[in-house]
Amino acid sequence: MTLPKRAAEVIEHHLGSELLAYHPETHHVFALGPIATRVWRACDGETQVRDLVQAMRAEGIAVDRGEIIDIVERLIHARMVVADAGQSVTGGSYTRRNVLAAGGALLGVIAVIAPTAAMAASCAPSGAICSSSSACCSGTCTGDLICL
Amino acid sequence: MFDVATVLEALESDLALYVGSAAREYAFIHAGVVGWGGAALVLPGRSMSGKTTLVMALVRRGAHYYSDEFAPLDEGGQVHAYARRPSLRESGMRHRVALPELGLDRPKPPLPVRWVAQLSYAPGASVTFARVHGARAALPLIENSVSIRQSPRRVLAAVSEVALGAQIIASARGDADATADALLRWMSKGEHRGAM
Repeated sequence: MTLPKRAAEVIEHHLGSELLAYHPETHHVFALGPIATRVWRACDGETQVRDLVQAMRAEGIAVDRGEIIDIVERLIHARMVVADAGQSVTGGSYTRRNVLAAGGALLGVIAVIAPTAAMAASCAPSGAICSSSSACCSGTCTGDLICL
Repeated sequence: MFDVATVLEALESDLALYVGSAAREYAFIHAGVVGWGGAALVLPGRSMSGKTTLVMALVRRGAHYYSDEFAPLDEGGQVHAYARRPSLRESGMRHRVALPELGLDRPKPPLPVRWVAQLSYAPGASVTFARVHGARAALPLIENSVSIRQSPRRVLAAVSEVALGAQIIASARGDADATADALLRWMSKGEHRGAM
């Protein structure tokens, strides 16, 4: 499998071995940990997954193909990288909620929605999608990423 | 029949939001800010999250008032004062309080951000001082940015500086006075682990 290419419109800012990346159309902001950042940097539309796995192992980074593919699937769904048609190797059906889900933390991939000015000045009502409790009027963002 | 004070309050809030989203030199974060020992504590949070109450509790304990609404961050990650009278809610109505000890009549120097606490009110909760590290430490600030959609590069640069240099926690909190005491102990002693 060839890794997809980073979307040209994504704005990135590096923090050492980690990365913040913002998509100006979807308004997702991703915080990528060291492994996810390494995968991100390899997303050039040419590098093979197996080559990346070998390179990372040679650098002393314990990683398997499945982890890399899961990271890539999340990035594809969030349009942070551009995949060719049919490139989704797991047939993953990520929803917007999956992209924001806390499970991504294990992969070093965490996303939030960049708020509008009005959103940043107000709180989300019960039933709204959330990425942290502080965004909810109730003060509680459930495990399903819904404000109580 | 309009209540003039309420209309003016709403107008001021809308103008402040516009200024925050259109500012070209600063990344505006919706947050309370106090100074302590030559550095700043930033408390990002949405409206109704209790920022002003907590800021005032900290000020009563000796912290320096910088803002109860916005944290304007410059490109170096320093926070500037947003000098306006704190806005308190009582019986669903907002009103400004004029307190001479807040020092709003004189300029205040920008401060390096040494602490960020993203706190969600939960009755009876205690603050847990488990630090968030790396790129994810910038997310509490990004989630409360009023200008990231207009100026993403500036905001990412400013919050990254803060994420690299500050101790950042995300926790539930209980009553404002107990929380202020715990925060000041944390800031005075350095890094803590576990609930206080």
